[in-house]
Amino acid sequence: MNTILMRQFGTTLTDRADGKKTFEEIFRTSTFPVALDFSGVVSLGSSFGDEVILKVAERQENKLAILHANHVIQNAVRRSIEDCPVSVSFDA
Amino acid sequence: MSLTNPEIITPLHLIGYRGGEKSLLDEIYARLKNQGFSEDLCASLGWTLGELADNATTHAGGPCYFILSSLVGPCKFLTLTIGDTGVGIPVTLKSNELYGELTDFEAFISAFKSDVSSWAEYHKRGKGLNDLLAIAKGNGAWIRAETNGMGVFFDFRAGSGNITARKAGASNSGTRYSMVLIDSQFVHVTKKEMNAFLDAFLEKQ
Repeated sequence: MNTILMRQFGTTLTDRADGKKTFEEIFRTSTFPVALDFSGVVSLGSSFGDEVILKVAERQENKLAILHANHVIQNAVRRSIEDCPVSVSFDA
Repeated sequence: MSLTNPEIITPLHLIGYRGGEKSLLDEIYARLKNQGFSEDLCASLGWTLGELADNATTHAGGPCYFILSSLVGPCKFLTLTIGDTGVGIPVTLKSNELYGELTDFEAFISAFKSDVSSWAEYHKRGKGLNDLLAIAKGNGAWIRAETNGMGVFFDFRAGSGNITARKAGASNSGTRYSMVLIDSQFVHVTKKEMNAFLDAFLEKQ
């Protein structure tokens, strides 16, 4: 599985418009399935998460591995997937 | 530094364009980490500031300003005050005909529910203010919000939380938030839980 280093998109990942751009970049450059690695990312907003987490998960049977996310980033991810049939696993 | 002398981390600062807070946040994170604040606290600040700045750009149609200060003692916490000079939450929300019949105060409180937005439903907007409340509740903190002469205090220091209507400090249009973030706990709170909390308050009105 490919791993996307989310740090390349910034340390603060908020704003829906930036989330859309980020997903477009991931879609253009990656082969699915992918895992998202949040090493070096401090903050994630759930609007950004909606545009990336959900759309990446849609392309891999609604499953997604999240790596190296702090507790608050994990909270934002959980809020993004709350109303969706997406299964996310967290490590570290 | 003492509990009666907060350190100003960021003096009054204008976020003049979408995403303008992000480069500044890197400096803020570094400074807070030097003061001993946790990454989870920095993460909560970035999420909060990002959502509110995005709201100002998207819904208030203009820039916003903020002030950030820290207090480090037996307990470490931040105070974030952020505001815009838009037309205010009730005017914006009631531009969506779904909410046109609400009173201004009902519109103000309803705006904190997830999936309630001035945008049409298919855009799936409206999470930002719900996120704000969830962050505060999960943190055991509190928020004061004011818009168009109305004020409300969300207090999550004990139990499931309380909402109290308060007179606003100013009657002018625009929206202002003052929020405390405590470097202690960062519990996940669902949208459903926050919506139920807001509905219970609205039913009593």
